[in-house]
Amino acid sequence: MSIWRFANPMRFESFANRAVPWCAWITAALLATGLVWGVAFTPDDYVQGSAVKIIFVHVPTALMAINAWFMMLLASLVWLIRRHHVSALAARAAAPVGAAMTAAAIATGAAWGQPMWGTWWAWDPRLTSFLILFFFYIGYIALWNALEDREAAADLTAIVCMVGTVFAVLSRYAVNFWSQGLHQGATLSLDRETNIHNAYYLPLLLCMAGFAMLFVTLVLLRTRTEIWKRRTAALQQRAEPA
Amino acid sequence: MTLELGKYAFEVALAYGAAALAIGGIVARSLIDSRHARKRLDSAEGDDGPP
Repeated sequence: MSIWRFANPMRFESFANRAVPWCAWITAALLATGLVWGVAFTPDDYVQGSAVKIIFVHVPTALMAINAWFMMLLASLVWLIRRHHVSALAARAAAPVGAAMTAAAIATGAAWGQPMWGTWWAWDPRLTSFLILFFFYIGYIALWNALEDREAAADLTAIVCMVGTVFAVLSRYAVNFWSQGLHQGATLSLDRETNIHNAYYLPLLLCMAGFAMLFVTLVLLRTRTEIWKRRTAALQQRAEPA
Repeated sequence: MTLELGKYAFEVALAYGAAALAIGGIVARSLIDSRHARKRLDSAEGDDGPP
């Protein structure tokens, strides 16, 4: 089965109709298990105390904030190269979800930073690149809404997406190559010495899977909505007298 | 069960509250948009549902 069959809006809609309820239930199960386990059944950290429990929402939302942009980049490239409308609509549908994830990551990071760093905000490389990424999300959404010509809007937003990718990459890797910031290194690592403690590892993985499934569910739902809006507009245009 | 948030209870509650607001907002918005779009499409197709 080729992925290109979903370039047909009817096929995509039919797939979304079947997939959304399943994805929603899997999301609910993963998030309920991960968050309850993480918040209620993990011990306090010896340095951070109970503030460590913020990672169960901060790390997954930060991860999805960046991955949502990469998904939008991929969909935008498919639009630019193959001109599949569903891919442009999927990129548009993902942007508000990515913006919400970015806002959640920044807010939860601030709530953690206040007791741990003594400040809500610092102009640290990772925090700053995240803030710029958030503004890119807002600009991307605004540009889609501002242009009436849908093909031009899809083209221009695809270009904005490519430019914004610089900050998505910076957001992900800033902690690895910029050492002067406040933000600590990556929470998850293949190196057992630097990886998060086992007590937090599994619930965190569940939360990450839950937020990833939430993103997939919302993008499917919102892309289907965009297809419905396009079809309604086409029907109304056809019904108007010439 | 170790749900004793101690001196950081406010910060933990603030973080989860803010995340719930952002994520809950986008979920609610997506569901409402979907429902409205479906209704408008049904109306445009001349099918307002069962009589």
